[in-house]
Amino acid sequence: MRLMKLLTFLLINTIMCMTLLISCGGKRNATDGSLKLVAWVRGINNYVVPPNYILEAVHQKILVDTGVDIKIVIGPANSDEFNTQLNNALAAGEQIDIAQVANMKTYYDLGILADLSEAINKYGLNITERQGQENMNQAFINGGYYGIPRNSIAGNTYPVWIRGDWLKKYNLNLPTTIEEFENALMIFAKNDPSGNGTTIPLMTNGRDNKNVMGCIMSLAAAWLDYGYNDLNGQFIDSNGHLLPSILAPGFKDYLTTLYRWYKNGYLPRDNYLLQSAEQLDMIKAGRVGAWAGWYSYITSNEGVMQVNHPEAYYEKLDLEGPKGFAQSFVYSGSDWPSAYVVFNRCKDVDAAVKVLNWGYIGANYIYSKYAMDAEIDYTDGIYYYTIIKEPIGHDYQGLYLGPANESRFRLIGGDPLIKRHNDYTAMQMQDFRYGKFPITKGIRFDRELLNAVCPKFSDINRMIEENMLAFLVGKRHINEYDNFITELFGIGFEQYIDELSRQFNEQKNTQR
Amino acid sequence: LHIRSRFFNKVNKYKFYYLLSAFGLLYFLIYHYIPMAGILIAFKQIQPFMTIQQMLEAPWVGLKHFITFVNGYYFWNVLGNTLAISFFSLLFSFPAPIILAILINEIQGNKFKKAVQTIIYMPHFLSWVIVAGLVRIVFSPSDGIVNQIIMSFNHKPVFFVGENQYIRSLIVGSTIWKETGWNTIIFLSAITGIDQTLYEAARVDGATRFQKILYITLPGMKFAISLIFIMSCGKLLDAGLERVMLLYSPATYTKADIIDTYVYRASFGDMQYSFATAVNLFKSVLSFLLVLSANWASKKLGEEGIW
Repeated sequence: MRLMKLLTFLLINTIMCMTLLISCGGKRNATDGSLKLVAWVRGINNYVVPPNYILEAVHQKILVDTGVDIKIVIGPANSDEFNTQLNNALAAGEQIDIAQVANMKTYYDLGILADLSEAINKYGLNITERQGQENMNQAFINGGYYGIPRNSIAGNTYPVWIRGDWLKKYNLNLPTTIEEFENALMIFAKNDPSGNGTTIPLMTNGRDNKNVMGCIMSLAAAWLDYGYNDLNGQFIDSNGHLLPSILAPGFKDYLTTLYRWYKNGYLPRDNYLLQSAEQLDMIKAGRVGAWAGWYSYITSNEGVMQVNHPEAYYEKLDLEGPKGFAQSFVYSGSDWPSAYVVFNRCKDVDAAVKVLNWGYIGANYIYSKYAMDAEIDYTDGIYYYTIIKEPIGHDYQGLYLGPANESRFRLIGGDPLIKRHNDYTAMQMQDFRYGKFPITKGIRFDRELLNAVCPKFSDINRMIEENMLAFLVGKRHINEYDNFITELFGIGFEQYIDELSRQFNEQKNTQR
Repeated sequence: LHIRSRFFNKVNKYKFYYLLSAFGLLYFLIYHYIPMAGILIAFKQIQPFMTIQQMLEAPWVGLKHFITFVNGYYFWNVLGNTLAISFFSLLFSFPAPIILAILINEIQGNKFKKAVQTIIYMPHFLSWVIVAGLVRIVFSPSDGIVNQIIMSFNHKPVFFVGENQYIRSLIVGSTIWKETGWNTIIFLSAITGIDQTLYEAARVDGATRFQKILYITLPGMKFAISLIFIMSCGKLLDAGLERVMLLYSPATYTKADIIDTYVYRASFGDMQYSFATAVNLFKSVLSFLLVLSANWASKKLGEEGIW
């Protein structure tokens, strides 16, 4: 009996201790002779992780075509969440060879990226051919390529959209000015076309897109000389200082207008705190009259909205205000790009580049997204893909390896629900006629140095973020705007501006 | 030799107890003691993804990260918010399970009592993501049931989650809703341990229900109450990253940005692990001092301490 007791205790404890030890151990991928790379890819909002058989099909095709055995890990769509998970996994020593990163310079500065130049020369010819030199330059640092840029250097990504069917319903022309747009919002608010008080005349990006960035990028340039570009600078004063956009004459007018719209009920009370999933639901339900924010909220969801509201459709607006076009174009060249990088702990950089290059061959891009074949045709600078088989579904993201410049692609056939999205990325994403670039176009700032010069930069960021929102929703009166600027200078904004200006002028002089 | 043999005799005598505790001890060793060596990086300038060897060789920076944190523009704001949210949690969340446990104990029907217990334990098993989602839906200014009621009385809707004056109440309130039921367990077990003959004697002496609670139940729970109170004091600087993170926003930073969220935003996302470790060490030291103070105060008041 006593022996039985002892044995039972020993058994239970052994099992528990083993479980504990196993759970502590880092799990590394087996290298059973064949090379196995691990790639981390960020998910996309409104898309879901592909089912395993899709990933397995992609895995098999890459293996057959390149001889490289690669495991694809698809992370969260939210950029902050993805970065945190990726950083934690890297810090914990997990095997990650390739990753899609939001800002490649962060990782370059840590000295953990592999120089891909040699491997690109040997195995990355399709990458360089499809990307083009200007795009590839985004990832060129100190004589080497440390990544493959994911996006075009510039993009028309924050347009304003309005419900065309509602405009018709109330005999309104397509608004071309801020005043006409405001008038349309007023009519939507008054008439409640969605019914039962569910109409949302205007919505802008909420919590998942830095709260206020969506509406700033879509609308603020109407009151500014140049496009908005975060804190990177907007205009030069008489002393040659590059001053951030929030100090620009006219920015106060932008805030005043947006607050008026908010006060009049054109925007939902919780607009700036809504999560993307909540906003997408409202768009799909046909409740949103106008959208000012990231383009794909409309392009990817208009089709879904039309399933229940076949008459509903959105029109893209090219609004103008007192200082010209309202939209700011994104210009990633002034910062470091989102890119696919290979970490220097990768055992075979050549193999990693082979995989990345695979995404640029023929219609592999489509295969990486949908695990299905497509035909490819290149006409007038645009790659047209024709999906041969019926798509399995529209709502998954796929591996998303492939040419950086999405805009060159247009899917013919495929899922009709995302036709608008494909048309937009193909035809309008690179149309830069109706908006403004930032004055800092072509300048690349050294953020590391900026942070070093201004150690309270994160405090400055919080103060701006907090106060922008306060002015937009009227928690802080616009008359206090100058006090807010004084507060900013009180915690070191001047040092930041000085360094920003120094870098700007230095690079401008070099360019001359 | 005699002492050694006595030691081995004791080990032999209680070997099953030692075996039983082995798993727990191993858990604490692996997850709580070995990682303590990581405190080292709070005093060093390390880069993320360094190997242990590189970390050991990284330059010492003394108290640099602590000074950076304390000199931060929002240091007093985040410290104040952390203390305020924790203090309100302690003030309202701490007595709630005690009161609830007493009330449950007074329920006569056994089946009903068990049903009540099962129902009130349930919210504990919901993750904070779900609870925060529920709070946002219930208090939504456009569709939330609370605002529907407010509007039915011809009042304007209130944006609870986006207003500084309500955010702390929402954080503390949702914690009470989620955890009160679960926290009754320890108090109910303390009540179970009370000698039933005391209640019999009190009944014979003509004591009312309230008097029985006041003079038997509460004194019987004294040890559990003081123990939980001291442990709660240790968590005063731990205002709950998850719950705050999911409910706060730039609109409510002024009242809800706590040390943990500040560190998460300013440091963790930027991979400043040394800075993050320094801030957490700062928090842990203060928490430890709070536990010592609470323990000392408890003993001074004639109650049991932790040690």
